[in-house]
Amino acid sequence: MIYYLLALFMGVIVVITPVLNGQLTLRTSTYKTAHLSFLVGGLSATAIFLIFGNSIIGTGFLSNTQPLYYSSIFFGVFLILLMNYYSSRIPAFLIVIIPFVGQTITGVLVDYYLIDKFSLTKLIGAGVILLGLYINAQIEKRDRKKRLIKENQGGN
Amino acid sequence: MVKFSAFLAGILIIFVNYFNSVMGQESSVFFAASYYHVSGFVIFTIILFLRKESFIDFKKLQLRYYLPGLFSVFTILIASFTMPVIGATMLMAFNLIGQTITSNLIDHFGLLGMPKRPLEKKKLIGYSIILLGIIIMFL
Repeated sequence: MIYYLLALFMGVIVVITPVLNGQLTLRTSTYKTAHLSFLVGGLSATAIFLIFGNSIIGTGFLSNTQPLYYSSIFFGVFLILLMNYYSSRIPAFLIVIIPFVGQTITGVLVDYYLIDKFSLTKLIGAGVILLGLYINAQIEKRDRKKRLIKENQGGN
Repeated sequence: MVKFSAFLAGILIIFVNYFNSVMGQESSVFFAASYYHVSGFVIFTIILFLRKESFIDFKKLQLRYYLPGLFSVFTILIASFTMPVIGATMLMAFNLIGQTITSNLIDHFGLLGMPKRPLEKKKLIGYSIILLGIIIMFL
């Protein structure tokens, strides 16, 4: 039971993180925001590692792990800069859904490339989500046009 | 452009999570989380130095802005602990439920500094189609 609650809680914090970072970016700069985020993250992760983590000395993992996997941070740098950019410019719901669609489509392609598994339902589902987003975007566009016409008529 | 950058972020998330999880399996999730954040800190310290920007002004910083860094670590740890127990699909499903409820509350009430965007009835059809798409994905 607690694991399901943890998964739910993870969903909550995954939304709050970019929203707060987006707001801080508006008040300072994207680089300062990212720097703070990694500073706090680095301190807490290191503290947790020192308390709970097992020693890496002697496990030989340093020689086993391919250098490629150390490059995660380069993707991470671009990721946080992107998130700082869009998080204050779109509704929170879109902060959730649009990356989710991106993840799903990428995941389908990566699964096909790595393990020869192709999930058509995931691709169709992502397409249907995009359709729903498109419909709502058109409704918003139409409303904005109506509002502009009303304002112009009011001015005349 | 803004929406495309969000889509791009989704692509990057897959790579970050994949590389971090491989490193986590070969060493430990604690080391992977630590490496990721400490190296990010080093890179952005260098970037700030090159741009001749100072660190953030800690004296004026509201407490809530410390949360993203902490939550970022929790995200990695929670995913790593819950996935072996409840599986990737259930993790994704409950994660998505949490995200959807939270994001709609933030939008509807204008929380955390975001503008108020109340839920509109006319967008219900769009939301229903989005929900249908999510259900199809889990089939």
